[in-house]
Amino acid sequence: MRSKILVISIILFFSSISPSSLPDFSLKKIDGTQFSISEVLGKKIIIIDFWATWCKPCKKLLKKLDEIGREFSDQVEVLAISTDESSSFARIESYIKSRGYRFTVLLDPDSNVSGIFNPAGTIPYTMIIDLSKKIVFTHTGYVPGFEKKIREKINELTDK
Amino acid sequence: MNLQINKNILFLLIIFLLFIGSLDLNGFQAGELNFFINNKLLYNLNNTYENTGQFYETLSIFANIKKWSFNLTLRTNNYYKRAPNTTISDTNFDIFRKTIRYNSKKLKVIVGDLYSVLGHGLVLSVQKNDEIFRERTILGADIRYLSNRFDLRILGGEINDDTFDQKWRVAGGELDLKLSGNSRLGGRFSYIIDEDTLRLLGDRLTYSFNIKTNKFFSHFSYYAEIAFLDFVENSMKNGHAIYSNLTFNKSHITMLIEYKKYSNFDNEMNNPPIADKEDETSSINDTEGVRILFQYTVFDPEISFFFNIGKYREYEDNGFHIYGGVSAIDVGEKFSFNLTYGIRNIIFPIKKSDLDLTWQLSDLLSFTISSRDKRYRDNNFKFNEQDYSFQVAHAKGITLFLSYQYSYNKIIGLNNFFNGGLVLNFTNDMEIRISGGTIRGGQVCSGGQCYVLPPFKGIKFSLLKTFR
Repeated sequence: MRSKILVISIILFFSSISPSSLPDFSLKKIDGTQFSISEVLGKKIIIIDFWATWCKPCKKLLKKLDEIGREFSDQVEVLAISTDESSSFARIESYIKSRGYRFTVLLDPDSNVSGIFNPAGTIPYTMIIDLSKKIVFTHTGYVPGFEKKIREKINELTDK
Repeated sequence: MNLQINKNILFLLIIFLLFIGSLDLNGFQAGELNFFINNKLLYNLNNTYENTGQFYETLSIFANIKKWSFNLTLRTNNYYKRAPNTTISDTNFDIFRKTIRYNSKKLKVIVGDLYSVLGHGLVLSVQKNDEIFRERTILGADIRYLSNRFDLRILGGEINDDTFDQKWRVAGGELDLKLSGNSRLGGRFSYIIDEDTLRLLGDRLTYSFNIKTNKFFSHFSYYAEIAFLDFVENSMKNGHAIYSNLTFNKSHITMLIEYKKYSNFDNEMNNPPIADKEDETSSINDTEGVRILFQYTVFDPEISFFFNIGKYREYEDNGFHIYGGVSAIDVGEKFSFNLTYGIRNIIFPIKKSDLDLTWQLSDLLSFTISSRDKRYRDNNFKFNEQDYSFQVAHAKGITLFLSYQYSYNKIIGLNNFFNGGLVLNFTNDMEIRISGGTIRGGQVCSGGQCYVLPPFKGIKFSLLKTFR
């Protein structure tokens, strides 16, 4: 019984305060160099997308995010975090290069970042972080037209 | 700590989470202390493995203050009961994950439960695999030091397997030197101590060296790793591995060449690249292969043609695979499609085809149909798997999906799987998903989402909510 009370108390406590800002983290890029989110955090609006090469909806979303990244290149940074296993690194690199995508691709094979923000593991999972480093938008999945929601959010944030 | 799940508690949780999800809570910061909460509630009425009424609830809380952060994932479930040969109890309530992190520009430290992959996974790969119910973590520490000239990483701890009662200890490390011209030279090791009473493999040392160069001759990148596996205690033959890839990219053309050669290279905790277009299982104890992937892409609309050919040896069997296809996004601003056909003939012959077509009726409304066919046939055995799915989606509200899977296996016989459901996404940060029927299992994409799951028969209800 004490365990049940503990779980519900924790849920109630944390649910009642409900805030967030993105903590610093770093991951490797596909060229092997380290990328720290602090390089862009607070300087640009950040779109983070968790994806994998085997996920078709993820690939459609990547194309849309690339378009958004180009359109808002001065204000928005797109980070595509691959949750593929390490055995697929070469596949990731060739996929991104073949499409000519300009956004930054990060590798998270050990789920140390996606495990925090997307513990359910369902992809694609999208987050938007504003200039005050706050997570202002999260969404699971992609169906055509979802990019409109992202554009609306970006427009709302850039109009401020 | 175990307790029986009370249906009343479950009901209250659902109501509570729906209520919280409907609130528009404003941001709150206590000084520099910040919280991020991700909640998943899943209820399955599942008839697979004769286990009805599965319940799974995870609540992941992440808090950070300055350079410190804390992550706690609470879990209560009887979800894994269906896993065959499992040793954990039917019902659990536990602290599933706990980590403390320190993150500065040069020093990154994680203490607690962590996954760990070194390099391309040849030396160490401790992570979860949903498809086979395997949840493997290290309870220990992972320390990284990043400088302008090199990155250094050391880790160690006890490896826990959530579903099998077997223990290992591991120590590992990695040094990545930055060379001139955007190149890197790396070395890494893992030492695994077998704590199982049988000690079939005993302690083993795996180590590797690699080189990675980027943009040499402006359009090429190259990676090569050579690895060794020493069985310290027993008389098993020591193993070795070679893996390399070369990528060329210029304008519309991209080419990838991969080569692998693995011999006695299974240390139980590694996952080397398979150098195959598809994720077909492949032994790493005696295999060699090379593949070439050629892609030609035009942009806006994005249309990409690919052709992939590979030649492999696995033990005494020699074989090949050939895949080709085209994928397109936003043709005429209305259509996206993907078409792939392939033949793979290694140990046994497989033919595969894959079709996916999306028609976007308006900015928000779309129809998607997809089919997949995988068949194998020879004199003694044959199987055939077919998947068909249909989806209608409105991007600002509701997605409906239906799927039909057909399996024929000469030994097991015929199986039909019907599944359907809906996803509700009326507000950001919260999603409700209701589905029912049967699913074959594996990598599944439906309702615009992809995940890996085991075979299922019954009803699912899930609520995903992010508190921010």
